[in-house]
Amino acid sequence: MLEIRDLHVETNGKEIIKGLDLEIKKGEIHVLMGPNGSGKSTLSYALMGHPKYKITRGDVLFEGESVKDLSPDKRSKLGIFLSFQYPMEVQGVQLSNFIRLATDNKNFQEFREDLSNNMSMLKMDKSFGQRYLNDGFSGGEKKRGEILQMAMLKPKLAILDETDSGLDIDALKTVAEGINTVNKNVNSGILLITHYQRILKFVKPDYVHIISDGKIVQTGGADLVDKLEEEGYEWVSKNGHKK
Amino acid sequence: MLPLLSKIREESMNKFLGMNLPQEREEDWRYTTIDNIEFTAGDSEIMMSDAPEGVIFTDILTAMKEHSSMIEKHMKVKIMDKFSAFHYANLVNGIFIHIPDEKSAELSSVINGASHTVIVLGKNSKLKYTEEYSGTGLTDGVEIFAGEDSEVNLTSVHNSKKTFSFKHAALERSAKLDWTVASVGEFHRTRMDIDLCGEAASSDIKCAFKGRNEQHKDFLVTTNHIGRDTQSNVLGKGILDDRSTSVFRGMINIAKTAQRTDAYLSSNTLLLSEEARANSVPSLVIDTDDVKAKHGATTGQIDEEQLFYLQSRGLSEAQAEEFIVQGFFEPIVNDKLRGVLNGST
Ligand SMILES: Nc1ncnc2c1ncn2[C@@H]1O[C@H](COP(=O)(O)OP(=O)(O)O)[C@@H](O)[C@H]1O
Ligand SMILES: [Mg+2]
Repeated sequence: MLEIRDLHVETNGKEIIKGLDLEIKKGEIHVLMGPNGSGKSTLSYALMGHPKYKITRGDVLFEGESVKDLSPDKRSKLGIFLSFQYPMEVQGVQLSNFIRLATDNKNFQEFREDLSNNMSMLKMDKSFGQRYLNDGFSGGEKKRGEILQMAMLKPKLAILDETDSGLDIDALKTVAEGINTVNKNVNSGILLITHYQRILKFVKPDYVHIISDGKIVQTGGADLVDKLEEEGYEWVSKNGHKK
Repeated sequence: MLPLLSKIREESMNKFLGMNLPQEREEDWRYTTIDNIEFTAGDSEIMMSDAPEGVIFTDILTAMKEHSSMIEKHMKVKIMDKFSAFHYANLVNGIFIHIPDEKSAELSSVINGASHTVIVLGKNSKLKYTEEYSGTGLTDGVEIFAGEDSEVNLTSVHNSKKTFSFKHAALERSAKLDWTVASVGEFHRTRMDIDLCGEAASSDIKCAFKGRNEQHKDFLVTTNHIGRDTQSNVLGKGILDDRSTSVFRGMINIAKTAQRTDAYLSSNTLLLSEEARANSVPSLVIDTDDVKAKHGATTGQIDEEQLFYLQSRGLSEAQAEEFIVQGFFEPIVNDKLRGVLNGST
């Protein structure tokens, strides 16, 4: 479904992603881990089409078609979703109105039910929908809001950029349940970006990739996480560049 | 003519004739060019809603006849410049509102042309009032006297060609004023002077403006804290497109007597074009300790990161922009203002 080939991305004239390959099939859960500054957010922005992050070489194929020249909204319509590491606050726009426009669901009754079900799954109070988009939300509320939008948009591919950071254990479980539900019900492919192991207690990956300095340096199964836990990222740099 | 009226007009006319037009080098006029001013009074027409029993809601000439003592007591002829002198020199039309003690009323008016409104609120009374201005009147004015514990909620919509507005309010003990002024006309200068006289009086002033083409919006909002424990909030919020310009001046004066005052002043302007210009000038004069006073201002174009965020959820660039622009006024609008401000850009 998603094929990233020899991807190079630069921002502000600096190359951040330096030749990255990755393939994600329908329903697969991939975890991408790596130290701060290794290019995880840059990769997510580039996949979603942020104008400041330019693809200078390589390609991104989604269901066989190149998407690298498409605007973010076109990519979204194709079924790509990005949960932001730092969701933006937009004053005056009510969360539920926004989701309604985004989902473009003409059946109001169905939309309302879906929204209400997903909000209860994520243990969000009904009043949330009336609040302005992320305006004055706590860190945890913002992340739940992102997962709610994912659950409503039902993407084919969801990129979750550190959705787990800054959450207490209960919120983490809730968010994980949201991810697993969408993965199961919609058969979404998931690219879960994190630099903590703790969410992997609740979300079971098919593949784990380690990114360092803009490249994937290790790929393996869930056991790679244990290894990482024992040895830290230094082990990756020492043993890096073999696949 | 009524003796009171002719006295006001005559004295003001003399002042008018003796005054010069403000110069650009005067600080208050630095960002506002005044040319092609025609000092003509023009026609004026007013439509008023019904009023409940006991409440006076009438034209100002009738009021000068029938309630002259109240008018004489509360009408302050404040002449600050040539425009305000002209305003009083040509006073022919306007509105008088009196809400007796303990009464409440919801009123509205539509004003086409120049006018002067005097509002008097008795103790513990309540008024909700919407006034809409249009047409070619050069000046309009509102004076409010808010008695103890009264509450007034005002919405002023200005959609005139070229207008100078004067708005003055004096608040007694524990009186509350909530006033939203929306300006969408061609050239508009609004001067507001809010006097928090009695202790624990509070005012919440919101100025919303929207400019396109060569339109110019100028606000000079002064809040005078006189009583102790007084609270004020002043917010300027504007969207400028094309080559439109604005200046938002907020002045907070805290007198020696105004201990434990709380004052907040802020403005934010959204620029939709490269050529639009917004000026924001805060000024705080504090003569006592034990006060909280803060101010802040932001001016900028639509945030690219916000656009990207909305687009990433499937909204087209145009839809995303519209969302941000419509959402901009949302925190301060009511149903009336939503239509005025979020109509055609
Ligand atoms: N907009 C930007 N301008 C300049 N440098 C950037 C920008 N975005 C990211 N970078 C740089 O790219 C590198 C990778 O950042 P990022 O992708 O945010 O890493 P991660 O998400 O893995 O922590 C960092 O060195 C960061 O400073
Ligand atoms: Mg990051």
